[in-house]
Amino acid sequence: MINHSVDTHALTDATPLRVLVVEDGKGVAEVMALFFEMEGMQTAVAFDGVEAVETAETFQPHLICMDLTMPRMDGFEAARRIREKSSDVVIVALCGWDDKDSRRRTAEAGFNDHLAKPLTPVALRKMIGQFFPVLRQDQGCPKIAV
Amino acid sequence: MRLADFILANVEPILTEWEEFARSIWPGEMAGSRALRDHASEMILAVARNMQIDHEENREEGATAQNLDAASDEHANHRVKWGFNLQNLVAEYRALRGSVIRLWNASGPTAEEKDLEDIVRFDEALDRLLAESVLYYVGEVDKSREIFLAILGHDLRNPLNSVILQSAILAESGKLDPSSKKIATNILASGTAMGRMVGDLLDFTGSQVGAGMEISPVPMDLQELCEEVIDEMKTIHPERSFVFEISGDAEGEWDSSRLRQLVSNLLGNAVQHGWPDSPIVTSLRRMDDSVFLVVSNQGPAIAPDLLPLIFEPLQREADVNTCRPAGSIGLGLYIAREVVTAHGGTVEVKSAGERTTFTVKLPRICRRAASKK
Repeated sequence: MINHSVDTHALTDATPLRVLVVEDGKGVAEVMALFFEMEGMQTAVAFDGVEAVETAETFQPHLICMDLTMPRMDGFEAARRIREKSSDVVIVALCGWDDKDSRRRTAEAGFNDHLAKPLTPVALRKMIGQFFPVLRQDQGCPKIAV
Repeated sequence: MRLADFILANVEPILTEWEEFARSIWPGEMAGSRALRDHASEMILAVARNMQIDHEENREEGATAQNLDAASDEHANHRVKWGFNLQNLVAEYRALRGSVIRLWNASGPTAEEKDLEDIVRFDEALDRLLAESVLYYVGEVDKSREIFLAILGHDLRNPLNSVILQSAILAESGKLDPSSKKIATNILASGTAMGRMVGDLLDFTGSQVGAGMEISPVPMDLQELCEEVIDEMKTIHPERSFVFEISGDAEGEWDSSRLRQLVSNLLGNAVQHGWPDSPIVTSLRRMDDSVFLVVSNQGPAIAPDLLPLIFEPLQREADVNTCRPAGSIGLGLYIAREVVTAHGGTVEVKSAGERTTFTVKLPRICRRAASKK
């Protein structure tokens, strides 16, 4: 994965983390968005690569969690186009495969990380903690009450 | 008439019998004559010509043998597509052999024409056809099975993703009554078990065709990873008790997702086979250039004669006495061993009294950094 310094200076209590979920499975996309909202974040959802590129421009996400196999435009191409316009955004691949070749391909396409499905809350929180440590420690990212 | 000449002069009667036999064993919807006779003509002609060649001198032998192979490959290919099983494929060649010899005998060859050498060469040519067909058939079936499993495993992960995330959100929620929370936790446990099985199944099918598991070692902390996996297990199995002990640091260079699979499979195994009211103990110990990961549970001892089999794939019968609960296809320990081996480590199991202990020894710096399928 590429080492990518994340600009978190703009993140404060007043500006919660903005997460764009990109998934062609509507149910999965909504569940993921629900999870991030319950973690105290703002979310937007896109159902293919074209929508993802458009939404990334208007929503200005800090984090994009994106599926790879999608209609109209796949995640690789969408990541390349989004990365051209925004070098700061963290883009994480959501992938059914977890092998070395898949990880290499997502890294080459500009993804910051590669999470293998099925995802767990633990894996998602760990990823957020890695890329947004400040937020994780003391800013608007409450854990779900147990 | 000698056998090869007879075959060349009687292709149509032989093909008619071939077609009748194919019709009698045809699986599914009946096909037309062309499909029933698929490549039979080419194969019969190739057999007869192969018999006529003087093996010592004729330079056409190679080309004729290639014709035999090509025709039998194509035939096997088409038969796979029509749903033939291996038994059907072999039966078809057996019937061909029987038909040719019977028709030839009925034509009344003289004693001189009944050359034993001819029959041997006919058998050899047919054996070659059959062997090539079987080889091709098995290869095709293996290929389609792998593709099927890979697609199944991959596509199952999307709905599994929904099940696991939603049930985890519910299980973590403080708003549910105890019964609903228990149901959510059970759904999460089942979804997680299914996810583990899908992963193991994909790895198993992968390891069937390659030479070992592929790994990408990076600097990591095994203690952190164990704590995460144990936290997950506590969420999934709140009724079970997990103990974690550590001595010294457990940092090294390993493949993080593979080690997660290792720890998860060993703990999953302990949950399945341990007494429900006894703790599952995980410990990490640093010793020189190695880290020892030990997972131990109390439960029925594994019979000594079954211990050597425990890491073999699909060993479901190995613990028939313990009534293996749902959530296992007998690949978890096999995959665990594959992960350890890929890292240049070792894994041992001891089972005595009422305690079963798995001990993994991992070199801190993985020596198989460039392992490749």
